[in-house]
Amino acid sequence: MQNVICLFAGIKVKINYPYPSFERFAAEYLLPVDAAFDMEITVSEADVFCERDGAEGHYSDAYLQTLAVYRKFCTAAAERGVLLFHGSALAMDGNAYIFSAPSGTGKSTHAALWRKVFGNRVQMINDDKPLLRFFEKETLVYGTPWNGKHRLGGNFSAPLKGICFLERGQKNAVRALTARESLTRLLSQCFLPDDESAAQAVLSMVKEIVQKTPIWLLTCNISEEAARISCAALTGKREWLSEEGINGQTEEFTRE
Amino acid sequence: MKLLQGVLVSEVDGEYVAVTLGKAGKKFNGMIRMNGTAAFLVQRLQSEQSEESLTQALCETYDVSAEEAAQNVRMVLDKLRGAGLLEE
Repeated sequence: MQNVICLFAGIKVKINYPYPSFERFAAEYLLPVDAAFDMEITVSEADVFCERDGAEGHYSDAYLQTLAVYRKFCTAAAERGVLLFHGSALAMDGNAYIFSAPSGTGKSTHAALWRKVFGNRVQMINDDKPLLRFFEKETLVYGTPWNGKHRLGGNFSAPLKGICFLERGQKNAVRALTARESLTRLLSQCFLPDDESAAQAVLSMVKEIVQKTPIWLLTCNISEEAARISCAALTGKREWLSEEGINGQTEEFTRE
Repeated sequence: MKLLQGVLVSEVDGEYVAVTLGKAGKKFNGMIRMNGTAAFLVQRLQSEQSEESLTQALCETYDVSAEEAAQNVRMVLDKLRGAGLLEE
């Protein structure tokens, strides 16, 4: 067993693990070896083996180990208000927004369009599996080492101001989702622990998102217009939005 | 009969969604959207029930005829059975 102490979503966690290279994987998030910690988790070889069952294709033990660590951490941290949400999270002008969708829809592609259109006003927090942490006043989105195949993201956090679900379409349109419409979509993109009380904590956090965070549905193609439209919705320039959502109003957006 | 352990119901604004964990999650990997009546029955099924006890509970709580209640109960049980979530 080897061990490291990491800082994930503001929680200092000591991690005991069997296979090499977790230290390198989490390099940006390491604390000194003698740091005090808030919680301790231990991942066994059996835990790593379990991950092989759920994974499609053949992966190295080192990779499966990272999955086992994240599963244990997110289960243990759920009752401290930490939630793993599947999506591409970025910060614009200091606020965090998340694009979410089933794998393969184009979350990362859409986030890349934002970087192209808005340049250095946009920083990637995490391109795949950011952590959300719920505080009384706000919910913060944190970068983590689990940041997708392109390893995009950074070790920083920003307050969550909106979530945008993506669907592919011929044209670009955005509309607000109601609480009822949001629930299944959010639940399907959250990590749900097998432990019942941790899972209950996750359900409460999802409910909190529904109640506090504006949630949008963007139907989009791969174009700069798509990025401008989702940006107008997420950043709160709702004067651009009609009841049915935005359609073909790029002229006004480009004036921004 | 009762529900397998690990079926949790989440509610927002009158929308009920059941999710499955652990053993139940291995049987049925997904979510079940339901109305308030179905959610009521699912909560009851966290402990041992019969078709009769569920029908009676439904009649006591909602303004429905015994016939309607029984029909509702059968429908919900069929769904849960189909998803493999009942222990009988």
